[in-house]
Amino acid sequence: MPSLSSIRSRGFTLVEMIVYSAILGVVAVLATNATLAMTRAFTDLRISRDLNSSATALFERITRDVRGAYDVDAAQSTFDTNPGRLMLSTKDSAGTSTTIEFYVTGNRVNIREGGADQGSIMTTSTSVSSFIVRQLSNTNTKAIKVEAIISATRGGITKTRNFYTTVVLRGTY
Amino acid sequence: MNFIHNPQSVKSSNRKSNRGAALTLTVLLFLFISLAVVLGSASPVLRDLKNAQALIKSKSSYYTSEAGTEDAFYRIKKGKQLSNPEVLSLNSGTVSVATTDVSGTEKDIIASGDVGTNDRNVKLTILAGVGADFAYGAQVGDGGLVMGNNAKIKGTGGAVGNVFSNGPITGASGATITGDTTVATSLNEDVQARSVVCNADQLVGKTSPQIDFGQSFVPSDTLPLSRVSLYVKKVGSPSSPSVKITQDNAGSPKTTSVASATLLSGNVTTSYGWIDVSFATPVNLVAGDTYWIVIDAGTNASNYFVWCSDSNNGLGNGVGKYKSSWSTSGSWTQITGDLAFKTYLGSGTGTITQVAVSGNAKANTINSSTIGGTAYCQTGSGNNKTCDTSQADPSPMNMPLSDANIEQWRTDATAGGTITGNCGDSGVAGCVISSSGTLSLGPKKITGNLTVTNGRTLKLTGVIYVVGNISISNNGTVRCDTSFGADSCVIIADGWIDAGNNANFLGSGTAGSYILSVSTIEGCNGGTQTAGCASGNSGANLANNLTGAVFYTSKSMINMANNAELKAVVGYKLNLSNNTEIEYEQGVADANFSSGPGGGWNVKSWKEVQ
Repeated sequence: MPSLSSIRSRGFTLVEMIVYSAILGVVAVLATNATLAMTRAFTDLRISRDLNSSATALFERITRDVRGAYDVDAAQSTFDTNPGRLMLSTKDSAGTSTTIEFYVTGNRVNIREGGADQGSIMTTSTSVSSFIVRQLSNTNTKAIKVEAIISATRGGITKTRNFYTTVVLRGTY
Repeated sequence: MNFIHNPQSVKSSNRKSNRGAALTLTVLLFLFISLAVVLGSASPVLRDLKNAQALIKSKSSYYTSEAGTEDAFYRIKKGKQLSNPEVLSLNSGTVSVATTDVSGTEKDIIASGDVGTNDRNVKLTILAGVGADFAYGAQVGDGGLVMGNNAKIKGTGGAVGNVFSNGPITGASGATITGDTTVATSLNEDVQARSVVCNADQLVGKTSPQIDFGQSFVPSDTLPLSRVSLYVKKVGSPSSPSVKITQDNAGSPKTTSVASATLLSGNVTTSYGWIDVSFATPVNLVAGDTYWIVIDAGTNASNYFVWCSDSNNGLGNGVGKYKSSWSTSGSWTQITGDLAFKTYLGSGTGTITQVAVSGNAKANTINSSTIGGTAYCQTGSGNNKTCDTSQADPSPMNMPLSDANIEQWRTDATAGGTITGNCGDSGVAGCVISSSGTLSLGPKKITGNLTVTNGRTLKLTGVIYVVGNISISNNGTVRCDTSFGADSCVIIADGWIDAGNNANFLGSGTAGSYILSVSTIEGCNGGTQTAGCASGNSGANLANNLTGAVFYTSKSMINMANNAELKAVVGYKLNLSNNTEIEYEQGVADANFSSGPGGGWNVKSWKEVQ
C-alpha cells in the first residue's frame, strides 16, 4: 500500500505541532486573560455601584432626617469619634415629638425611630469602617457633619471610599 | 475510489477549510466575549446614570421648593405683593407656592417643586412674632442722614453696617459706611393739587403791582413737598427768581416761607414749558391744609416771566393772586383763573454725597463718594466709580415699628399701673432711686419725667411708658431685668430722650437682648433749638460713651455726639457728629420683645412633606 504510506508520511511534522500548540497556547492565554480582566472590571463596577447606592441611601436618609429635626440630643449622641451616634429630636408627620437615632452595629449604620429599631439603612454587601458625626453650632443654627468610610467586597475584591455631608437643622428657628 | 483518485488535492482542500474554521472560531470567541462584557457593563452603567439623573432631579425639585418658600416668606415678612398660588419657573422646573392662613397670627406656606415629574414639597409654618426687624445699622426716614467728619457706621465681629435711608445722605471728610448704602427715591405727583390748563398769560414782574404771583393748593397727603413744576415762558432775559412755599394766612400767602428754591431763568424758554423747581430741604405738608406757591420776582418792563393760567378757576381748592411784594404786609389781588402748576410729594430723588461706602451704594444720584462695591445710580459726579444704571431707583422702606406697635406698648405699660409724677433721682414715693441704688420697675406708666444719673440703676421688668422726657447720664443705667433672657425690653417716651455722658443702656445680659428706647416726639428735626426738644433740637440726643441700645424716633431727629456707640438706630432723621460711630450687631435684626405686637413674621416650623 504505497499510497497509504505516502499519506501517513504527509502528517503533521513535529515543528508544525510545536508551532500550532504554541499559537493555541498564546491565543488561549490571551482569551483567558481578557476574560479574567473583564470579569474583574465588571466586579469592580458592581462594587462601585454597591458603594454608591449604599452611600446614597444612607446619606439621603440622614440628610432628610437632620433637616427635619429641631434639635440634637447631645447627651445621647457620640460626636467626633468612631463609631458615632446621632440622636435627633424631631417631629413626626402628625406633629408629635419623637426621636431618630443613627448608630453603628455589625459594621452597618442602623436607624431607630422613637426607640424602635428599624434595621440597617445600608445594603448588605457594604460595611462601614468609620462613621463619625460632628456638630457645628452657633447661637441661632445647628448643623451636623457626617463622615463615613464605606467598604464593599465581592469576589475577593474590596473597595473603600470616603463620603461626607453637612446638613443644617431646619426644624428650629 | 474517487476520493483516493487524487488524494493530494483532497488533503490540500481539507487543510485549507480547517485553517479557515480555526480563525473564524477564534474571532467568534473574542466577539462573544467582547459582546458579553460590553452588554454586561453597559446595563449597570445605564442604570447608574438613570439613578443619578433621578437623584439630581429630586434634589433640584427640593431646592426649587425651598426657593419658593423662601420667596413667599420674604414677601410676607416685608409686606410685599404675593399671589396665591404663586407659580415660579426656575431653571427647568416649576414651583407652586400656596399660602394658607391657619389663624390670624399663623400661616402655612406649602411649596411644591416639580422638576421632570420629580415632586418634592416643603412646608413652612410662620407665626406673627413679637419682634421687630432692625435689619440695618441705621435706618433713616424721609429726614435723611447727615454724617460729620470721620463719622462711621460699621458692624461688630466681621459684620457690616448697612444703611437704608428714605431721605438724602450727606457725608463729610472721612464719613464711612462699611456696608451697603441705599437711598430711596420717592417722588409722586399729587394729581389733586395741580392745574394744567393754559388759557391766559399772566405777566410776572413786568409792571407793578403784578410782580409777585402766588397760587394756592391743598395737598392730598401728609408728605414732604420736594418739587413743584410751573408752566412758564420768558420775555427777554429776566434774572432767576425765588419760588417760595408759604402757609395760608386768611386766604392769601403768609409773609414768611417754609421752603425756598430758585427758578432757573436759563431753563425757561420763550415758549411755554413745564419747569421743575426742586427744594433741597423738602417741607412737610399736612393733608387738607392750604399752601401757596409764590414767585418772588423783580420788576423789569422788558425782561420778565409769563405764567400761564386757566380762565375759569378750574382748580376747586386753589386760587391765583398777585401783589407787589409777597413778604410785606398788605392785601393780594385775585386773578381770574388758576396759574398752571404741578406738585410732587415724597422726599425726592435719593442722593448720596461725600461718603466712603465699602459695599454697594444705591441711589438716584451719587456725588463725591468713594464706593468699594458697585455704584448703582442714574447720575453721579466726582466718584471713584461710574454709575451702573442697570437698576431702578430703590423704593422707600417703612419704619420697622408701626404706630400701632407703639400704641400697644403704651397700653401694656398702662395695664401695669400708673405712677403720677417723676421717677428716678428725685422721684415720687415708690419711684425714687437712692444714690447708687437700683429700682426694678415695669410694666408702668409714668406721667412725669424719668431721670437716672450718678450710678443709679433702673431695671425694667416690663414696658415703661414715660409721658415726659427721659434723661440718663453720668453712669446712670437703664437695663432689662435678667428675667427677659434673650428677649428685649422697651422704654417709650412721649417727650425727648437725652442720653448724656457715660449713660448705660443695656439688655438683660443674655446675647440677643437689647433695650429699645423709643421717643415719639414730633418736629424736633435739628436747626434752631426749640423748647420741648432735646439738645441739638433733636428727639433723642445721644452723647459721649454711650453703650448698647437700639434707639428709635419715628418723627424726629436723632442726634449723635462723639463716641456714642449704638447697636442700631432708626429715626426720621439722623445726625452723626464728627467721629461718631454706630456699631451694628447682627442679632438686632431679629430682636424679640416679650410684650407688644409683632413687627414681623417668624418661622415656627419647617418640614419636608409628602
